[in-house]
Amino acid sequence: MSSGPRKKALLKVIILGDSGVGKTSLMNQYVNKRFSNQYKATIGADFLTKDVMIDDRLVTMQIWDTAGQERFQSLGVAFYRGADCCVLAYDVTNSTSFKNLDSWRDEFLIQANPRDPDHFPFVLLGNKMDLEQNRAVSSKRAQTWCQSKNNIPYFEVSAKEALNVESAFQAIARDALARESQDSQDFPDFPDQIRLDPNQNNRQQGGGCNC
Amino acid sequence: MEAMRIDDTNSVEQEKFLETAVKTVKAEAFEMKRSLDKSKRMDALKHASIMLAELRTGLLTPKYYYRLYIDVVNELNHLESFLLDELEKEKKEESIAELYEHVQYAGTIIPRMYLMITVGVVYMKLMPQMRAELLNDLVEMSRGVQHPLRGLFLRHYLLQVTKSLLPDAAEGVEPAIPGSGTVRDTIDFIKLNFSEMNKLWVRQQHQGPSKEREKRERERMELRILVGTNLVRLSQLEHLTQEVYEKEVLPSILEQVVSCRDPISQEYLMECVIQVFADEFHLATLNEFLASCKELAQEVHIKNVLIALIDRLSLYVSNAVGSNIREEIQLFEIFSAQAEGLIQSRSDMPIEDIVSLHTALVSLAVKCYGEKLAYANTVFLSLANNLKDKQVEGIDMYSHAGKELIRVLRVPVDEYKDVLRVALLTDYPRAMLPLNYRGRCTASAFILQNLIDNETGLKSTDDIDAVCSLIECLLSDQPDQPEDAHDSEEFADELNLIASMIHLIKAEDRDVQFLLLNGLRKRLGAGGKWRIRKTLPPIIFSIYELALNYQQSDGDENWDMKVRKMFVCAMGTIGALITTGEMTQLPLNLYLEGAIVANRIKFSENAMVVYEFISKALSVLEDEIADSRERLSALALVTNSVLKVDCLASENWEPLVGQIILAGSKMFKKADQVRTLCSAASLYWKGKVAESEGELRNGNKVTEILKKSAKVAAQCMEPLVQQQLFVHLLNQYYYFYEDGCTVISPDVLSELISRTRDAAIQLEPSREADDIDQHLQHTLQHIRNTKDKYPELAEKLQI
Ligand SMILES: Nc1nc2c(ncn2[C@@H]2O[C@H](COP(=O)(O)OP(=O)(O)O)[C@@H](O)[C@H]2O)c(=O)[nH]1
Ligand SMILES: [Mg+2]
Repeated sequence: MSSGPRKKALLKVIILGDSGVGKTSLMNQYVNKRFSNQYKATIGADFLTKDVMIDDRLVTMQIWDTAGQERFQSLGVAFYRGADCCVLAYDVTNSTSFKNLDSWRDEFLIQANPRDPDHFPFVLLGNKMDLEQNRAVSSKRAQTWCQSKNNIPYFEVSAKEALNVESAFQAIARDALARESQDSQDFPDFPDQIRLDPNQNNRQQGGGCNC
Repeated sequence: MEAMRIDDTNSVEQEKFLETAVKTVKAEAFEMKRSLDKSKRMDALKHASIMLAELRTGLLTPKYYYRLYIDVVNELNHLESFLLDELEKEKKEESIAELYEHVQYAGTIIPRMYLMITVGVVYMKLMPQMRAELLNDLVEMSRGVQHPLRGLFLRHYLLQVTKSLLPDAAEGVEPAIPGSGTVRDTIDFIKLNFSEMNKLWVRQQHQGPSKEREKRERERMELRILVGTNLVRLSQLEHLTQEVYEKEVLPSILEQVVSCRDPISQEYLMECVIQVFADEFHLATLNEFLASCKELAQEVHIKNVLIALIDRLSLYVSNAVGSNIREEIQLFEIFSAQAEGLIQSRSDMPIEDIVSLHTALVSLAVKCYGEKLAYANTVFLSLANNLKDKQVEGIDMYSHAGKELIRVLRVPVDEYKDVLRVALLTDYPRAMLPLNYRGRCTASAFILQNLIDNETGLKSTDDIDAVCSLIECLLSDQPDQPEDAHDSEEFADELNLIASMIHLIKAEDRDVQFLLLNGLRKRLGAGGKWRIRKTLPPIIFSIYELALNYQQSDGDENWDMKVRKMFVCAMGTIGALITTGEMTQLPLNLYLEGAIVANRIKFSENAMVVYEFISKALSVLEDEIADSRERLSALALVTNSVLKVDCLASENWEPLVGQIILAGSKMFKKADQVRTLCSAASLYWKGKVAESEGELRNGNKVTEILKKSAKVAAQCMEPLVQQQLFVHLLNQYYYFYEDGCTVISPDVLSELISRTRDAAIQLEPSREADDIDQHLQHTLQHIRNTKDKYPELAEKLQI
């Protein structure tokens, strides 16, 4: 499954974090260059795509924004499946949102079940840096946390003032791309074991209909 | 148990079905991508179609189907990205039109529709002018899938992949790309998709056997998010103006919701509207929204809807941005009327729901109308009345209703962070009453805790009255209080809180401070045996502290009288601890502490007060303390205290000391008599009276008492104990001798020494005997060490 002829890579990125930390705003700032103070709850999961160039390679980033509350994920979090990078976000003025990072990370690893979880790329974003005067989590504390998790890259950003958002997502894309190419190299002979039994396609499925 | 097993086997089975399907998806996706790489587009679409056929399964429950769907959609995203890439390069308009045409020939409808949507998206990206037409085409064609589960997911896919393509140009203005559509096209598109999805979702309720209703409802709840996505899309449109929302979008949503008559759908969609649209939109359409609430099915938990709305708007309004809204819209009036109407119209509403509606209202009142106490108060009054109408009482705080009641009571406490302000809500205490004894105490306890945490100072009688009105159940016995209430840990904790509260009494003026302490003392004094034991002592200490701070008259001509009054008050309070509290040790300590404090303050009658305190302590000892060990330690305390006071005239001092000596000589054990008498002897040496300059140093009295003790020691029948006592006496004698008591002659000492030495030899060997002997040796060594100072004694002893 060489990436040779298919030039454009498609990368799936998931943003996780407590509700209200600014996940939706970050995504909107990055993709649409817009910010709104208006609050609208995110329910379920939704993505936006953006084309970017990473070292001469054209990449489509598919960024999944998620609801931070369980009751808004009535179907579960299957959309974590197939992610190439996971972005964890917290609000620098809200220490609870920082404390919950561990559980977000754990949940992601359990549900997405990636190969080689120790080296799965995560990126941490500390948002709302425009409110730095109300800061509740120091840079140092966040960096220490990142170091303890296998050196997760860390960015302090503001969706409101578009501070660092672009460069953070560049790094995210780069990490995701590295992961994706790694994947293609790991499994050069992927197909054989599941070569199809032609009959399987026509198998009648119980309860299915021809609608 | 049974049900659980069935569920488990189900999930094992589901995992298996999913695994098989995912395997096919992976294999076909692989073939699809390989074909794409080789530019065999038709082959790729064939594989995609086989892959998509997996979504026709009827075996998976929603959550498992969703997992399969995600895997498929991940692959379709690759297909889309690839096709777009290729067709962009080809730059032939016909190719995409042909492709779109081609996929319509796929065999079954599920693969066909997914492919049409995927290719349609590429089409729209390549030719934006086709957007409106294609969107319409796709949403119409999707009608072909009428199976609820599959239809819902298909339409969700449609919503998901078209997200960034939905026309969002302002209405009436020609869009940047001619023909690419306006927000109008999108509104129509979503409205149609929404109503179709809602129909599918509602229809699901009526399919399958009735015994599976519960399972079906659970599955429907899982699927709700798919339907809600339509509303999310609408809310994301930049050019969906408030006017369009008000005039068209919301009415059409509400009409859909009301007319479907399905409780699950109604409750979810109403909440969803509240969550996804902007606050300004809600404020502009409050009446319409609330009017529709009334038309919902009986089974809908409208209170959830109402609470969600109140909570959301409270948050918005309480933030500075929306502050002028408060004057414009009578939010509080509107919502309280709604809540009341709802409660009246649903007579079967559970108590916890009634309470939680009030919780939302209190939050609104407290957070948005903090200055209007009357609002919050009305809610508590209404809550109390509603619960009274329902005739509920004795609510357990761990029941649903109880938890909710505790929660509502906490709101103003946590929000104001000022218990005195909470107390201004005069109907608040009434809302506590439906709780049982423990519940009320818990509520009062968190109020006190808040008072303490915020160090809210109590400065006037009104303040004290205010706090007391909120903690009634902690102050005195309650009719519904269990017999053994005082045995609980909570009871003790709550009394500790009251004790801490006493330290918050901080009047500006010392006279007022005393007034407050005295007033509270009267209230606490009525608390009964178990309570006063913990609550009165801190009052007494506070009074002592106040008296000490009151040392100077500062020109106040009534100063003497006032200080005296404080001590009288303390004395009376201690008395209550004895009579009602049935305590002995602590009152005795408190009397003695009082004596020492009064002795330090030079008010005119301090000698009388000190005398009174000490003689009261002695009466406690005489009348209340029977146990000999306790008597012993009590007497030691009294003796120590008498040593510390110096204001008594000898005519008063003498009788007190006389009483101590009498009490000592009445001790049950000889050993105790000896020890207490020895300590009493020191009173005549180190003690002070008003007339004396410094210590009394009355050698005659000292030796008289020591002699008396020696006589008692000699009567002791037990050789070991006797020896112990004589060694003690030797030490006492030598102490006074060393301190300059000339009445003690070397003869007496020498006699004592030879007596103890002789006795030591005759003692049966034992550990105790060894210990006593060691003590004696130490004493003798000390005497030898100091012999140079006392040549006369040294000679006599020949050392
Ligand atoms: N000051 C400030 N506010 C922000 C920033 N990012 C988001 N917000 C606000 O925080 C609230 C929650 O943002 P949202 O993106 O909905 O958070 P989400 O729940 O994580 O998706 C909104 O009111 C935003 O306007 C930021 O960088 N600075
Ligand atoms: Mg969000």
